[in-house]
Amino acid sequence: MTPKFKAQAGTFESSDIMILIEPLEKDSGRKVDISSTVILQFEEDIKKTINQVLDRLQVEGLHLIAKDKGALTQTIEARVETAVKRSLGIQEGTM
Amino acid sequence: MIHPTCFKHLGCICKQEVDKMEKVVREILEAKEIRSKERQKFAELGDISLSLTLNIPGVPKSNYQIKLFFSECLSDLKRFLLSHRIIIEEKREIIRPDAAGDFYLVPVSGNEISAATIKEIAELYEKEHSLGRLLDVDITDEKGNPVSSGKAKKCYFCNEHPAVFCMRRQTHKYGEMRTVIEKDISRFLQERRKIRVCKDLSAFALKALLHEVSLSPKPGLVDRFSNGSHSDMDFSTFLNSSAVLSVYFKEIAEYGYSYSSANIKDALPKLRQIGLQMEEDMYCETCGVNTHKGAIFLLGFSLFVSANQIKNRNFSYDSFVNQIKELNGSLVENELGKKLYSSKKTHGEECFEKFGDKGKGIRGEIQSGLPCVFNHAIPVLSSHFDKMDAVKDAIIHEGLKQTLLVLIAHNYDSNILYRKGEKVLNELQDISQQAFTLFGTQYFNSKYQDLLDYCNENRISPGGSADLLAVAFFTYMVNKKYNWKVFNTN
Repeated sequence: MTPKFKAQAGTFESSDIMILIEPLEKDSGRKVDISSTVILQFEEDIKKTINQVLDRLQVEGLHLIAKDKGALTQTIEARVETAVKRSLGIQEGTM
Repeated sequence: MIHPTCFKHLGCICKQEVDKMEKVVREILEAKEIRSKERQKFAELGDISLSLTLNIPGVPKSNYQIKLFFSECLSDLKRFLLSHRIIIEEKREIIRPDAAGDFYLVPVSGNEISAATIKEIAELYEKEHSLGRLLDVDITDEKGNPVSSGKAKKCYFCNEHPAVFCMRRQTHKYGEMRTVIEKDISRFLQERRKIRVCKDLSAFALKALLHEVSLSPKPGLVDRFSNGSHSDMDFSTFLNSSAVLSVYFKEIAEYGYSYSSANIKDALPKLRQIGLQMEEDMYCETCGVNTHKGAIFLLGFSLFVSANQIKNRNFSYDSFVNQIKELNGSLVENELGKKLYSSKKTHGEECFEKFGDKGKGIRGEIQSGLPCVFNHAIPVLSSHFDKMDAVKDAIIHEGLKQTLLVLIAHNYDSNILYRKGEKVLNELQDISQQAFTLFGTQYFNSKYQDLLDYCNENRISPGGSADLLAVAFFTYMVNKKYNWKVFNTN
């Protein structure tokens, strides 16, 4: 699937993550940018978690920006899933 | 994860329980998004906003105790902000506990102070607060961006790594963290309660002294308009003396609140030291006149005992009396029976020598558990003040007047006995009893005038009863606010 809308999920609070999704042209794959207060220790971890959710939901053609403040894996999964669903127009709260 | 109440799937990894946890997490995340939207709404109006939240690991994010803690911190924060001249718009504040815990959000008035400066002050508040690391004061600027200081707070538990690393790594077990946090919060709330109780008690003690002396006219006693039977003191002497004594009330209350030895009598030397210091200060202030010696003695013990019982959440008239008795033991035998001061006898000592049992005075009253106060004065105070919400001079005046009458009628005042003899004391008690009985009738005023005249003619001053009036009023106020049976939560 390909996102139709710009969407976001999450907050800037500590222990949370803000996920922004922008649709890209078809067949342009995924672009994931991560900033985090724990980037040195957890960059790979966060990237892996995000990609796993995107794989599971089978979405391509998007630019995902993550602004992390130490969110747990479970939180990252939930926030990415919500952002994707919003960008697909199947969950409320589109930007 | 084994579900403890799942009989069907005994020993299984219960799906219900996993679903429940996922639901809780989802609710917390949703709550945080709603909070974020509220911040954005303020930003859309061009306002900087400030929030207070707590860092509570695990779930539930709030409970009764955490809520109390939050509301204490919120009051502190508001005072702190005002003291630093950060004006918040309280009319637009949001106080909304949700799945993520307790939450407070408010816009800051005007944009003269930059969001960065407000953040610095918020950080100062967190730093100065004894449990500041549990608190998060977040600032969102007028464009909706979070303001960060870039400083990483240390972990509450190990105090070694930045908090964010320990949280992300889940270094510490939730259960252990919660135990520590709940213990710290409980200690914090106990300390706050102590401050509140001791403040209340010292205010009650001063109120008792001031209302007693202000009651006018009084038979033979100093009041607003007359020196009564006294030539060496007046209303001002009493106000000044009350002022110097009030300095010590909180010290005694704090001593009582913190006192934890099993034997309450071990407290006596320290209590006597404070009492003696108070007497010295009183004499210094009044140029050697005894205005409050009896009141120091009675209020001193009462402050100590009531603070101690409120701490243990068992204050009641009965337990108060028992502890006063326990604290004093055999005062009559121990103190009146032997000479405490080598230079000269006190009036109380001489009176006991002369009149025996009838001359036991205030020590006898205390040893038998203040019967004048509890059997006579308190019921009268109750009948006047139980339903009183707002303090009105006229109501206080009437209530205290009738209470003073019942006290004079029943108190075997060793001072009057010593100075005037048994016959005068008995006559005084009779007239007071008659006035007490006539209270509220058309005959009262003339009988009360008889009492005033009798005291003036005989130069009598029922100072002992005035002291008992003060201590009765004090105890009444304490009971009204802190009786554990009525106000279990105080």
